[in-house]
Amino acid sequence: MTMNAPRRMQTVSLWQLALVTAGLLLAAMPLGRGEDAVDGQAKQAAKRDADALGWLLKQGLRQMVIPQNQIQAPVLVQQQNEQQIIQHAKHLEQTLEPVLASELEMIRQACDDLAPTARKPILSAGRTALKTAARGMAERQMTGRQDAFDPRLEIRGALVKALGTVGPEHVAGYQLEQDRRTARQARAARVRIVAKVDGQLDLSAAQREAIEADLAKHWDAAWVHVLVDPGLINNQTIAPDFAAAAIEPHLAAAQKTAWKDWCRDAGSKLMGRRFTSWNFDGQGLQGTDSWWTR
Amino acid sequence: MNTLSQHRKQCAWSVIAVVGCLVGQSPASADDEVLADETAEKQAIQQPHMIDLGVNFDSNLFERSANTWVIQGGGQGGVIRMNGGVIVAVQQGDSRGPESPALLKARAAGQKRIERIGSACGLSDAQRKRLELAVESDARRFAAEIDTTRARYQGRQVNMNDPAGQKEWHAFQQDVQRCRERLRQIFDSGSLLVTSLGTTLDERQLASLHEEQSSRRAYQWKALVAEALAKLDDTLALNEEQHDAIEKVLVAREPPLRAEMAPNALADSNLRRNLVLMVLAEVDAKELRATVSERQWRTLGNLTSQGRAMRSWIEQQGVLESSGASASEAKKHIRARSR
Repeated sequence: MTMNAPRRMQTVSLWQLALVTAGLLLAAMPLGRGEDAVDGQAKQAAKRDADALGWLLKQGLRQMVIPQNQIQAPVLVQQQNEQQIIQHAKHLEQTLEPVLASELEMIRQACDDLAPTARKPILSAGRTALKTAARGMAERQMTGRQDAFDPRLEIRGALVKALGTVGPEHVAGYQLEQDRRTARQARAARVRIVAKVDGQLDLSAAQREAIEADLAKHWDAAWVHVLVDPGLINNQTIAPDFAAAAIEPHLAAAQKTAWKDWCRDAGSKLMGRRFTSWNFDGQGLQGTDSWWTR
Repeated sequence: MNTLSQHRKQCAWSVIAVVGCLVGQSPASADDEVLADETAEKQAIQQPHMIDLGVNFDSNLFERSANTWVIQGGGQGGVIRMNGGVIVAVQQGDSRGPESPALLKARAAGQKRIERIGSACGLSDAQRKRLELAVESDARRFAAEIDTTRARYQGRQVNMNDPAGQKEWHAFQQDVQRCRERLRQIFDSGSLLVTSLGTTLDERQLASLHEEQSSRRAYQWKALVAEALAKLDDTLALNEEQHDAIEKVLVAREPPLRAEMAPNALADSNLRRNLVLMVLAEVDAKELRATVSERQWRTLGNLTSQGRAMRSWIEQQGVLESSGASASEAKKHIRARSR
């Protein structure tokens, strides 16, 4: 029972408390004011008190029967939502910090002759882009917006723009490293797709080779999402059905049947929207690189 | 007493009375909520949460991957009731055939293994027959072991809201874990199937089989390395030269991945990543450090330490061969036979 006492207090509505307080205050008023007791004053006071009590009761009753979110004015709700987005964006800024650190490191490696005067504006552009990207992510997460949004691309775009003001050769150097990284990711994704199919359907070495080649031939950049594995569906690994055209022609009859069953039970289409670019594992380069502020 | 004071006192008492009524009679009043909570708590404590361990044995042994667990109903006709009668999971237990599920599963796994051997090196009817007999023998031995453990849990119900029941559930999990390990090793070295390979297949067939297994393992490792490096690429901002250097040392250190793995064995992305980091941790730190910048090393060094620390957990997952691949084991047999 002792444990329940604080909970009981919490569950009593603020309006109920206000009513009790008003009642107690009125009861505690000094009684010895007979000389002021003229009828007119008494009537006025009684009217004031009755109005106040009526308002308090009305609000209290409303509070008890109408849910909180329905009696708030739309403007207030919007302000609260905005506040939540701002708070969540601040949290996401920390999550995205490693992304910016990684991009800055790539720029440093690709453009190590960057003049000290040019570094600060690039760092500043990166920081601004980080905030914009975090805000964009927060808006989508808090409001359920479904449009495509990749915070990495937001940050990269801003850095390319800032590098462009220094010189095109720097942009080219950074872009070259980006392109190489994209190509490596695509290669890794293709091998991952083949390994998944192999694990499920027991491919021969020749089949693995043929499927990998076919995937390269018909490659879709969006397929790198296979590198961010969302887990299992129906206790099965997720079938890369998006690449069926590059896989199916190389399967034997029995494998084709097993493939169709796999796609039906655990196809990636069952996953709905993909959160590829939203997955950041939080590990990144540690500490601030003083080279950028030197 | 004057009129104003009297009026105020009357007002005050009426307010208190109204509030009392509101607090006491509101349909969703605080007292009601608290009472409802207390009732639910009492019911949750009093209501047993019964689990049938026999029903859960097969589903956890044969249908779940390394670290995952499922609690199936069956304690009360396939329905689990807890927290004051709220149904939180409804699944029917398996209907049992005349043969042990362990035997059926082992046979199926053995048949799959023979199919793979056949497609790697081609089998005559006589060879297939011999291997099938070996599989049947291994499967029966395995099923006998598993069924002995299962028999301990047949019809055994435990209350998960009771400490003694929870203790029994933990013991049950350890037993299932041991059986999972046994299931993974059913056709490892020491099995009749592997021993029979050496006496059934000729040199050419064994070489083909060995080549197929090596190729499969190498491809699996290549995929694991590529995937882990794609993540490292993002984390460390590796350039092409750094990426290729790390990839080279990793590919050269291919661990003894199990040749015959369940499709879900490597489903856990943390397992895949940490397996690669564990192998990377075996690389001479000086060599690795020379590949990356000081800034990159601060993070990479931490990641390799993480991989090193995960070794025992990774080994428990059963994705690494305990000793020798089946084909290489069989090769040893054939060498011994020719001597």
